[in-house]
Amino acid sequence: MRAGLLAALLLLALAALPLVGREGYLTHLAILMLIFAILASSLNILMGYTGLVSIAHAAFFGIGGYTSGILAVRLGLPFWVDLVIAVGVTGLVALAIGVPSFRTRGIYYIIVTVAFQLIATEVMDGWHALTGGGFGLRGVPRPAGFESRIAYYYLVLAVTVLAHWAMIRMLRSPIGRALMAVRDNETKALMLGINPMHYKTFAFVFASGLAGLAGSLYVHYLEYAHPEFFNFAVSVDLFLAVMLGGTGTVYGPLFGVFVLELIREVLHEFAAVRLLLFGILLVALIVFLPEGLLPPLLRAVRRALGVSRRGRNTPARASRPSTG
Amino acid sequence: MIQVLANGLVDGAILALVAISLTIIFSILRVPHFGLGGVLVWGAFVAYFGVTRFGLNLGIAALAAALGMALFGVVIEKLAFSRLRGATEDAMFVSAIGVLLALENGALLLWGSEGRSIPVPGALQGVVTIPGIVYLPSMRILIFVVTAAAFIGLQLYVTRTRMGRAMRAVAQDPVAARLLGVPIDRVASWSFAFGSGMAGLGGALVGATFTMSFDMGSPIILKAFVVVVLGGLGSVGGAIVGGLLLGVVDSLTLTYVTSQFKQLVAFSLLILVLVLRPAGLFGQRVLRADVQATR
Repeated sequence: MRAGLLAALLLLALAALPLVGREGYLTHLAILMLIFAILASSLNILMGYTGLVSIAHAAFFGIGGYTSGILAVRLGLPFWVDLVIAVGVTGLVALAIGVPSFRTRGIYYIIVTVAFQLIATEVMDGWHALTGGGFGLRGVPRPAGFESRIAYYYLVLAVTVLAHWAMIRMLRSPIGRALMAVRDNETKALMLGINPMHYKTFAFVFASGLAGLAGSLYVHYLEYAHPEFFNFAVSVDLFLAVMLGGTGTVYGPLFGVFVLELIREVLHEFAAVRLLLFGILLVALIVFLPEGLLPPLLRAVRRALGVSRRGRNTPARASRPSTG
Repeated sequence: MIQVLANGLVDGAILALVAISLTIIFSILRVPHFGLGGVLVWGAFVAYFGVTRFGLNLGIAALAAALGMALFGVVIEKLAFSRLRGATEDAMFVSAIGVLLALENGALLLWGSEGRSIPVPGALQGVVTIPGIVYLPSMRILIFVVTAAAFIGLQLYVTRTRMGRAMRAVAQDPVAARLLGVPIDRVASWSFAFGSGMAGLGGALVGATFTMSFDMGSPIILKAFVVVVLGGLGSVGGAIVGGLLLGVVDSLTLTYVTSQFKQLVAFSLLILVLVLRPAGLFGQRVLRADVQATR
C-alpha cells in the first residue's frame, strides 16, 4: 500500500509541475526526463530482469525516432500513425538482431550490441537521402493539438505512465517471473520448461519497442533528429542511469535518470568534466556499489525512521553475480 | 592496388599491436579491458611531450611512454579491476568502459582537443618507394618492425620465464593456479603492465606516424577488439593475422566500396563472426569450461 501511495504522490507532483514550470525551461527539462525515464526503465527490463547487458539501447531509440520523423517529414503522416509504425519497425529490427545475437553470451553479447550501436549511428549519419545525415532531419512537426509545451508535457506524461504501467504489469505477470528465472539461471529455467531463447527475444523486442516509442516522442518534441542524439555515448549514459539507480528495481532507473539529468544540466557547459565524472562513477559503482544508489539509500532512510519491512522478496541483482 | 594493400597492412600492424595488448589481459584475466584505448591516448601524449617539451629522442620518448603506461596500467588494475576478480565479464566491462571514458576526457581536459603529431627525426622521414607501385614513409615500416619485435618478445617471455609460465597457468585455470600457489595479484599486475605498456607504445607510434587526438582511442580499441575476435580469443598469433586482415579489408573497402560507411564492414564482420563462429576464425573449436559454466 505504501508503494501505491508513493506512486500516487509522485504522479500528483508530476501532474502539477506545469503550474510552476509554465512554458519555460523546467517543463522542457521534465519532458526530457520523462522520455529518458521510459528509456532507462525499458533498458532495466533487459539489464535488471533478464540479465542482458545491452549497449545498443540508444540505437533503438534512434531507429524509433528516425522512423517516426521520416514518416512525418517525407510522407506527411500524422503523429499517431508515425508513433505506431515507429514502435513496430523498432520491434522488428530488434527481432532481427536479437534472435541471432542470443547465440553469444557474456562479453561477446555486449560486443554484438556495441557493434550494432556503431553500425546504427553510421547509417543515421551516412544515409543522407533518408536521414539528412550530419545536417539532421529538420521540420518534424509537433502533433496537432499538442503544439504548446504544456500540452506536449501532458502527452508525454500520459504515455510515460502508460508505458510504466505496462512494464510493471509485465514484470509482475508469469512472463516477468520467467524472465527473472532466465536471468538467475538459464539451465534451471530450461529445466522448468521455460525456453530462455523465447523469453530473451520477448524481453528484447518489448524493451526495444519502448525505446522506439521514446524516440518518436523525443523527435516530435524537438522537431529535429540528429545522429548524435542516438550514439554510443547516449547508450552509455542510459546504462549508467540504470546502474546508478539500481538494476532490477522499479524506481532505481527513474532515480538514476533524475540524478544524471541534473548533473547534465549543472555541467552542460563542461562536457569533458561530465564525462570524466561519469567514467569515474561507472568504475566506483561497479566496484563499491553494484546494487546502485537507491536501494542502500532507502535502507538507510528506513533504518533512520525505524520502519522494518517484512517478507518482501527483492529481486536479486543481475549485474554482478559472483561466478568464479 | 599494391599501395592500397600496403596502407592496409600498416594500419593492420598497429591494430595487431593493440590487439595483442588486449589479448594478453583478456586471455589471462578475462578482463575485456577497453580502457586500453585511453591508455593508448595517454601513451601518445607522454611521447609527444617527451619529444616536444623535454627534447627527448623519439625512441626514448616511445620507451618512456611504454614504461609510464605499464606503471599506470598496474595502478588502473588495482583501482578498477582487482576487486572484481571473480565477478562476471559484464561487471568488468562496465569498469573498463568507465576507465575509457575517464581517461579520454581527462586527456581532453588536460591537453585540449586539437590534433597533433609527434615530430619525427630526419633519419626516419625518408620514404621507401618503388616508383609507380608503392610509396611508404619509413615510419610506417618501423611500425611493422616494432609489432614484430613486441610479438617475438612476448612469446619468449611467456614461454621462457617463470612469470610467463604463471601467466599461462592463470589463463588456463585461475582456480587451479591459485590452489597451486601462483600469486594471482602479481600475475594480474604483470599482465596489466605488459598490456598497458604495449598500448602506450602503440599510442606513441600512432602519434608519430599519423595525427593524434584525445578521442583516437575508442575507435582503435573497438577495432582491436574486432581483431581479437577475428583471430580467436587468447591467440596472439591470431591477433597478428586478424589485425593485418582487418587493416587490408578496411583499406580495400575505403578505396573501392564506400568511404561513407567506413566502419560498417568491420563491425558487420564482427557480428557475423561472433554469431556464426564464436571461437573466432583461428580460435580453438572447443568451448572453454568457464564459458560453459556461464551457460
